[in-house]
Amino acid sequence: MRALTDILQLRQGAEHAAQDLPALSMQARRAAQAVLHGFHAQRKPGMGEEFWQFREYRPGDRPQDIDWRQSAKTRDVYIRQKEWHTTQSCFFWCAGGAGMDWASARRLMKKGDAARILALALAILMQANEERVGLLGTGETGRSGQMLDKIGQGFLDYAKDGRALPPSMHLHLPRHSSLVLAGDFLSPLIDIQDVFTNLSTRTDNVLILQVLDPAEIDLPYAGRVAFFGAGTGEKEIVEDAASVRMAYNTRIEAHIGEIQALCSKLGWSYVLHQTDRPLEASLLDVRGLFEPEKGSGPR
Amino acid sequence: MIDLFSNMVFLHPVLLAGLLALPVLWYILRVTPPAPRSVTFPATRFLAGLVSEERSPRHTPWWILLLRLLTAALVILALAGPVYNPAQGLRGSGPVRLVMDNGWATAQVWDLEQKAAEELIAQAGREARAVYILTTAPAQGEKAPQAFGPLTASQALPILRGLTPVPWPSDYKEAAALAEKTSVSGSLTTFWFSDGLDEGDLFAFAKVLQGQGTLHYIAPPPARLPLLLRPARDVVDQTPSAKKDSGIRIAVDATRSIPQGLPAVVQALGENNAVLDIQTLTLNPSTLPGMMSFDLPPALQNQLSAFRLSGLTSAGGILLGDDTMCKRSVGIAGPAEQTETRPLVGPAYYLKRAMEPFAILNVGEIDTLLKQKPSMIVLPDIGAMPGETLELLENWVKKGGLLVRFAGPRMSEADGQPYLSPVRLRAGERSLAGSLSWEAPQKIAPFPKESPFFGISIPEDVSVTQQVLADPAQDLDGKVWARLEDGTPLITGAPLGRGVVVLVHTSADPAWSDLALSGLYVDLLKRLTRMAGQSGAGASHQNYAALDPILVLDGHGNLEPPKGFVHPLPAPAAESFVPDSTHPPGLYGREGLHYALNLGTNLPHLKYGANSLPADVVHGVYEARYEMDLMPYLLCAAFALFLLDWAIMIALMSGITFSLRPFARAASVLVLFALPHHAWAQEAASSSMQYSEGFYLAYVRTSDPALNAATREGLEALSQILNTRTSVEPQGVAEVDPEIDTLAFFPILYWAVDPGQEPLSGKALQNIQFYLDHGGTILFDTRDADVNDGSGYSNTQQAQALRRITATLSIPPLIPAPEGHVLHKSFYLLETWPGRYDKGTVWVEQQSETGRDGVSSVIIGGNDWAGAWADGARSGAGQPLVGRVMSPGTRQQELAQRFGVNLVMYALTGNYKADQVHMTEILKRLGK
Repeated sequence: MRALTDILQLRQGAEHAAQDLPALSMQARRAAQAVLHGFHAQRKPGMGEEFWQFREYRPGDRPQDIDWRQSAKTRDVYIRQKEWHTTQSCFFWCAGGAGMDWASARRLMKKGDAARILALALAILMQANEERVGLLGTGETGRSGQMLDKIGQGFLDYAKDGRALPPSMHLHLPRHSSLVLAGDFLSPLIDIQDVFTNLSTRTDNVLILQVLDPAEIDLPYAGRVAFFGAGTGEKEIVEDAASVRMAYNTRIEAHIGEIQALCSKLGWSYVLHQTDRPLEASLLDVRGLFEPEKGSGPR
Repeated sequence: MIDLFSNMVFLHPVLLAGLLALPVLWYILRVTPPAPRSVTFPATRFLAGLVSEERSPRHTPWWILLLRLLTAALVILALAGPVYNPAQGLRGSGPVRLVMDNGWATAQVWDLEQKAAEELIAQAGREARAVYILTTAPAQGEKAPQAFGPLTASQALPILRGLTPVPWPSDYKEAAALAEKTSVSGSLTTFWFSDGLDEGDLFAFAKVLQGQGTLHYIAPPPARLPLLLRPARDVVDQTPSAKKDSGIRIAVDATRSIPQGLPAVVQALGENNAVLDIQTLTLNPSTLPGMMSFDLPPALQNQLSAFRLSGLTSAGGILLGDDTMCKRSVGIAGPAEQTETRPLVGPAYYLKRAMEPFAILNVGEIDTLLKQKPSMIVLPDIGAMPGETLELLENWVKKGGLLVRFAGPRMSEADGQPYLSPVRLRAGERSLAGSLSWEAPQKIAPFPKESPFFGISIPEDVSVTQQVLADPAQDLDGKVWARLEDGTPLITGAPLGRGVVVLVHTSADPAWSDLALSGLYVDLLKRLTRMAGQSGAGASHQNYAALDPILVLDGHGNLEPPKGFVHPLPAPAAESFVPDSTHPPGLYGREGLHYALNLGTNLPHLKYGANSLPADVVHGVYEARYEMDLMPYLLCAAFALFLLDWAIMIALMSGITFSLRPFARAASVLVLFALPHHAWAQEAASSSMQYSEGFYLAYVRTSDPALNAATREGLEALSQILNTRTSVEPQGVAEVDPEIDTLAFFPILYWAVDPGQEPLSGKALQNIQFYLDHGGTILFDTRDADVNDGSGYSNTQQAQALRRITATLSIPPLIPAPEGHVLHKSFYLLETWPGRYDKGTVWVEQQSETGRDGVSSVIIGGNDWAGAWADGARSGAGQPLVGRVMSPGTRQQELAQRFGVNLVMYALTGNYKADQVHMTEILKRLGK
């Protein structure tokens, strides 16, 4: 019963965060990569169900994709993009554990809550755009509201199992499916690199949503402070928290920088959400990522 | 500040060395880091290995450091035993004797005396000297003062605190005898804590004390020397100035050592110590005693119970009043019931009216009156009386009663010489303005100097037409208190035994003179009554061997019931009695007779004690500064600081950040709570005012909002109709609540009865009743004509609600409105008065009360007119608004609107239409 109300609350929060936004279409920025899309229903008449479009062959496209018939008609070589290629499934994952269940001040939202709501808001927007959404690890996708509830439930389960990083091995992850990973990603960089590298073999269409508390960046403490890691047993006594602020800030910035660098290397998207920012602002950022560039997109 | 520290001494100054340890403490506190504040921080990993840039640990904040050092310093200071204003050491050696004055005067300086004595005992305790205590006034019921000792300081202190001032003078003779009995080896240092007065034998007493060792005489400072209230014997001022006539004079006495211009405030107290008057006097040593006069109105003077020196709680500062100050009881012989049932007839009525303000009156048969032991009896026109009664009456006068007789036909026509008359009378009376008389009515001559009435002014218009005449005799002149202008006696008086018999030679009623109708009559009776108080009380208590105590004063001047030690006061000596240990000042007497034994009455002249002391006595004055141990205060302060430090630590460790925001929020909430009420009150007041500026249709708010809205809509429609069709221009519609609103602005109230009507509160009912009684009209609309048969007995919910409302209202009888009622024709001629229903009966007052111009205060019906008006407005009828879809209302709606117009016209114009209807007929006839 409790879990049900939690889900409902979570769902409500997410609906609230998503309601003001225009429908988010996960359009592919590059047709070839077909990252995300949303225009199935708006194609010209006569286009077949299977067929998506012809596109000039570019270096990097797989030779198997070349439509020889079409290419034979003209001088150029075309590849045929098929519907099944572009059909997107988006999987979601959210970090849990004591580290996420924390906020530096009462007025701030807990990191975990912010991450879950943001992720679910994305799921809602996608579902509204007829995308298939699902929970990472289950392999199950769907377009129904029921699936959203399942995702919400999954998030809450994640929160309990306390994993700071997503599972990367033995995943049922269809190729070319999208992945949204939300968390604070404060784990050691080596672990993060391992996980990201493993995941990148399965998909290259990933959004990293790093959710951090402003205190984790600014270290707004002073005086003698004993810092306890959330649920990790770490303990650091700092004689003058104010004096180490600069050093800490450099470190955490470096960590974030490393993650961003890793993402751009892997071709992943990255958004940083600070809990003192409105959720909608970060959601807009995410949408901006998927907004088609002017003049590009499918023709 | 300098003074403060110069007067501070440490009992254990060695401990102050502890202050040297403070710098060490400073250092220790400085280097010990404060306990870290614990914070949960998910990114703790990133802090690993970060070293604070400062090499040394962070310091405790300086203010916390200061706080702690202050705490430590306070504790050290407290332990060192600081004493403010330390007492000097006792002089001499050997045992110490305290002579405690505890006579009446000490109550005014008791605080000084007690403190000084406690101080001394404390010092004696420190020096481990034996203590003797000797009082100078006997305790309650004792003959001699008390002596205690030898005592230790701890034994002496409770005894000292147990002493209280007594309300009688000190007895130095007895005290000296006691002091002689004290046998001490060696010298006895005596400290005499005195009240500053010499109450006889002071010198001898001091000699005795001196004989046993050194004597220190400590007296109050001049400004605190005791004051004494004394009565001024001449209560009635005999000087011709009429203003001083009724003043009660009292004197404030003191010793001649008081400073110039010492203020004394005297309060005149009534019953229950209510202050009736306050007068301030400036005392000067050269003009003692200071006199003051209280000129109270008779009504207040009768309540007077005592005078009190304000701020001085002492038996000497109280002057109790007795019968001489209070209302005298006066008996009037005559039929008691006559004064009630037959005003202006018979002398008893006039006497009663005249004396009521200043006397307790009893009217009745002489025998009955005598039993009540009045101080004065008035016999108006009584000729003969039974022998036994006469004898009783004569005995009563001889014991000090004042008998006042008025002449009259019955007296003059009585056979033989009337008894109990100051002068012999001639038979018959002298008529000055009768039909067989040529003499003019005589006026009253001014009162002679020796007359008790001297000073009373005589009005011009008082004349005497008939009188009884005194038989000229040798001693007649001495007995005449008032004469007519021709020299014939009008009032004569003569003592009889201890009492007085007074005869007024004319009647107590206006039959024989205008005297009874003039103010002079009252003045004369007032003087006589006061005489009764003086002579009567003064004389009559002599009739008893002893006067029982009724209420006595304690040493602090509080009246209390007498305890066992109080003996009855020997009556013959009462006048010159000085209160003693078995006769404290207070009220003595019996039922109907009060004698106030006051200290001031017979106490000899007040003398300053220090003046009569032997030569080598050490003089001293009570000082206002006393030793004060500062240790508890310092420890309290240290503890408070410690608690503060503790609270700050808790706050810091828990990471509470101090912010004013919650307080500001709370304050704003408070303001929000406080504001609207105020604003609402203003609004209510201003809205009421607004209704006074024009004609408003008003309806009573019910608990049903829908009903309220419907009624408002109906009335708004009606006001629209009135505006368009008549010259009545309602300014608007008002909703009123009889609970809070003023109804007076509205000529008519529409009351749609709510079935769920709660019974009205008393205030609302009063408000409504006031409204109805002062010309208001209420239309009760029960809106139930569909089910109500109009018989007045129907039991619909609304009818029951209406009964609940009107159950406790006083409403005249109602009848169904008759044919030809003004409501039928006040504007429109209407056969029926339909609303939404068309069959309801309308009830109006059977007969409108006078002054209401024929308008019924209550109109009751059930046709739901407001609803019909609202319906009419909705259908567009009566609203010629451009562009409005006009759908004509039904005929019934139109009639309902016409009824509304008639109703308002009826309420505004009254019944003049009732006459107007006949005008055509009259004109027709005139034309013919």
